[in-house]
Amino acid sequence: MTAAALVAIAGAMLLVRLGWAARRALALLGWGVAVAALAALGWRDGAWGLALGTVAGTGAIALILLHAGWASPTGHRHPAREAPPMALPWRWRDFGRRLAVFALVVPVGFAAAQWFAFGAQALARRAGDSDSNTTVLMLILQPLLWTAIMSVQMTRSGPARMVAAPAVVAGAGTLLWSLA
Amino acid sequence: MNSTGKPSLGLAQRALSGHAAIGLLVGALLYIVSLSGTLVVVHDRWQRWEEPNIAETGPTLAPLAAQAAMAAAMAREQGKPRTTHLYVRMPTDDLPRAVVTTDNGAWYVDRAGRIVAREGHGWTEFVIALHETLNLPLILGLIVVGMLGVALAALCITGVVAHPRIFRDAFRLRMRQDSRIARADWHNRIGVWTLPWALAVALTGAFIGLGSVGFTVLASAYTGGDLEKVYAPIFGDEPPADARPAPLPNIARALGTLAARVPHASPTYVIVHEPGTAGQHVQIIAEHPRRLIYGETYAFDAAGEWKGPVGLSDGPWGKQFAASTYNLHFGNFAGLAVEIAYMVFGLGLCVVTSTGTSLWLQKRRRRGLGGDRLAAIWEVVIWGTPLMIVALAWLRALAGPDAPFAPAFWIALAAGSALAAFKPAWARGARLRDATLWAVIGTAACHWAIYRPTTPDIVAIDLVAIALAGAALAGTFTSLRARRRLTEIRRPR
Repeated sequence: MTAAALVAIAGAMLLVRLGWAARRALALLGWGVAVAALAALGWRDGAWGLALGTVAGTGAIALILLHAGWASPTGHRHPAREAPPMALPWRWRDFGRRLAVFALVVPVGFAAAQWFAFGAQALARRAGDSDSNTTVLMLILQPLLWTAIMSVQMTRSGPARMVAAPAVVAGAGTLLWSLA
Repeated sequence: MNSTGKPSLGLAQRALSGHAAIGLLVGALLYIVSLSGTLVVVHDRWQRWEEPNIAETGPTLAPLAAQAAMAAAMAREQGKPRTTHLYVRMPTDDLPRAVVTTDNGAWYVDRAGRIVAREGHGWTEFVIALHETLNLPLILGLIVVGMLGVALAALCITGVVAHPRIFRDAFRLRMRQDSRIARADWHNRIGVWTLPWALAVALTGAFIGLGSVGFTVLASAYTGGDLEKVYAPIFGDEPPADARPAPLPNIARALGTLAARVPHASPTYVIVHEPGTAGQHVQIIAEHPRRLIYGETYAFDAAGEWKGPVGLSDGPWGKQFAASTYNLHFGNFAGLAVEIAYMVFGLGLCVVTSTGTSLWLQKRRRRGLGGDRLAAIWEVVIWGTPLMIVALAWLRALAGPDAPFAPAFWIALAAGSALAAFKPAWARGARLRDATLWAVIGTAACHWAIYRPTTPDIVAIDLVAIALAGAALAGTFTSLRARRRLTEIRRPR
């Protein structure tokens, strides 16, 4: 059954490709087959099956992409366009802004995520969950939250607007810790 | 308008700016970790390639042979600092060699458990350390690489937000267009389709790398700084030490008991804690088929009496999750096919990382902001890294397993970057690329000719390396010729 599900996922990716930007129904059918096959793998083999199915799907797409590259027509090559060289003035203010962004995204974002993860762990511990679960909960949450904080920060337009994300997360962490 | 009087950027533009900023900050290190990680997926096979003439035991080792191996290794410990642990690495399909390791050394053993040679895979260990710690001290290196995992995950998210059409154009790969278009298509297409895999690898890497910080926080909060007590709920606890001398433990009996009680489990490691003391105890790590966990840990006392499993296979979700992150990250959970898939995706990640910075540099040049030196340094990172890894294989062959691989790598990379900054024309990408591909072909051919390996798996590495590098060279040659022909056709007569 595992082999059949893997073949189904690979076939589903082909359907997705055939239906992409043209026959939407075919693409939807492909996604449907892929999800069904992944569900079957998950039901039968748990996380191992899901991981294997995802690798099979990604592998099938890699082959389809390679074919797309291979079959792509030769296009016009234009000489590289270069503007006349110019030098931007060095400004200490820009350097300070970059330093502030780094500080907010790396140490501050890290600490905020760590504090929330610790608070969540403390609350789960207080609720009677096992030491192994609460420990792993904290270890999972830290990188997940830091990723989320960093992603939000890097879509803000300046350092001042990058403060909110870690502040909110740290505040929520304090709330969890105080409830624990 | 924003507060500085400049027009406000849309979300996609801000995300693109943030995406570029993260990429620039971590691009070079991320590329090195990605490339070394791609190689490390099959590290057992590299170990065999590095030492091709070691007699192999086959995929199993008898319990009595494991017992003999432990005794032989401990006999060699006379006059050395007392080892706190002894590991018998059981042979597997990927590495059909048994290895016994103490704090003072590691040796291959034969089917009878007799020591046959020193384990000397310094080059393979260097590549593993490059991926796991960037050759920094262990904890610091794990944290830095863990941070790179978070940065990669954030790059994935900001990359999707920055490109609203990324899913619409998901199958558009114009690799025979201008280098800018081709690079952008490679970057976006591989980036979007390997997104689930990249996120899984990035976040499991961050989990593993940053775990030491989390454990330290918990130890400070709950156990007075005792890390062992924090690890214990997940990985199992250790009985109190008792340094009084005692006969070596009966690991043969422990292995026999495990085979009888859990016949579907395949032992990968036998670990003896505090060997030769009254406080010694035994753990056996055994793989379970069709599971994502790296294995279950079974505990035994010194007499080989069963004490029970830690619960990585069937305990609370936290234990199972923690034990699953390693195989999910390294891709060794379903044999060679998945390992090859991981290597292909890893190469894809290298392409995404390298094209990302290259695109930024091209954009900079189009705007007239120069960047020749930066571009040359970037070419040295992209092609100099694999070239140096290949060169270090030669260092291994000539100077042995104890050669200073890490200093040689980082000094050469720094020197190459400095040279590129000083004279950008010397660091042309095409020249470095061709040098790398020829180096791969030459090294694989010489390896085959000099060592004359007879094991098919080792021969396969040489042949695959020659085939892939040869195909890449042929591809670049064909592409170059087509480009020249096109230029000649278009030239006004």
